[in-house]
Amino acid sequence: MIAVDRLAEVFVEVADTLVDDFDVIEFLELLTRHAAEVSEAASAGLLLADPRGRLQYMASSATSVKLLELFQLQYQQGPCLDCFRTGEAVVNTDLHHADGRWPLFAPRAVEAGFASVHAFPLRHRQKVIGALNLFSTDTGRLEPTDVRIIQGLADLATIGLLQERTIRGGEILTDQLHRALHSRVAIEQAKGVLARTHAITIDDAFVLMRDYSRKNHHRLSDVAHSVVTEPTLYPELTAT
Amino acid sequence: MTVRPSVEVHQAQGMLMVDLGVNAEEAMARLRAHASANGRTLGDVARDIVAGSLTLDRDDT
Repeated sequence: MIAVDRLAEVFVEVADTLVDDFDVIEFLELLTRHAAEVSEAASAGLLLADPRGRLQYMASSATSVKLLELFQLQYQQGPCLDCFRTGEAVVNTDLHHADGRWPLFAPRAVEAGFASVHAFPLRHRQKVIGALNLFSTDTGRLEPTDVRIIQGLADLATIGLLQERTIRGGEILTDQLHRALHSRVAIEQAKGVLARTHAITIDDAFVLMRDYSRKNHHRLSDVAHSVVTEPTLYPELTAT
Repeated sequence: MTVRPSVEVHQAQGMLMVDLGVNAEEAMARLRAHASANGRTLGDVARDIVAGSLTLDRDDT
């Protein structure tokens, strides 16, 4: 059961982020961390549908090779794909008994150390635009109240994406999703560029870029795009 | 079943941009060319580049 006082803090932090200098990727990462924490899941991730309706990785509470594989796998099979197609949350599935349902996904998830999985739809009007995915190392069940709260967090993710629309002057939703997906790509490319430029790890490159963005009041996605396409814009960051 | 490893592929793309002094599109083209010339998947090549066990030279195929 989710602690009410902790929930209040989550609510305030999310609201603050929405009204403050807003970067959609950072916001989605924050949301996945909160989703993992309030549900006591080991990890949470967020996938968005690209223009061809395929689920793409957008953000997660933690990154490991196995976890990223599990998120990226679900464009083919898994709880997020089911949830995306049906619009219904997939809740409390025991991975040890899910081989029939997901013959390729379930064994890999078990091998990665997870025991249960949940997926919540990101809904916009009558459409499903993505999914919030939770992995747990135990088979503890989410109660109905927990399910409603986590669906609320998924809805906040959709609101965050719509917030991006307001900033960008009224783009249509598909363009926003496109832009969000492109930002994720740019962030990964920029990590590679900075890792090589400064001979540091990928994770340290991310910290460098994020700290630079915050210190200079730039949006993370803008800095990432520039690192990749216009490195002379931020010489402090891109020069060796 | 193939996993689409886009995270590692994009990280490797960024690394190649610096290693080879090329733009993003060219880096991706070089990644694909290397994978295909060596009978490997894009994801495997990308993973090796990110892990540091593979580097492509400017003349590499």
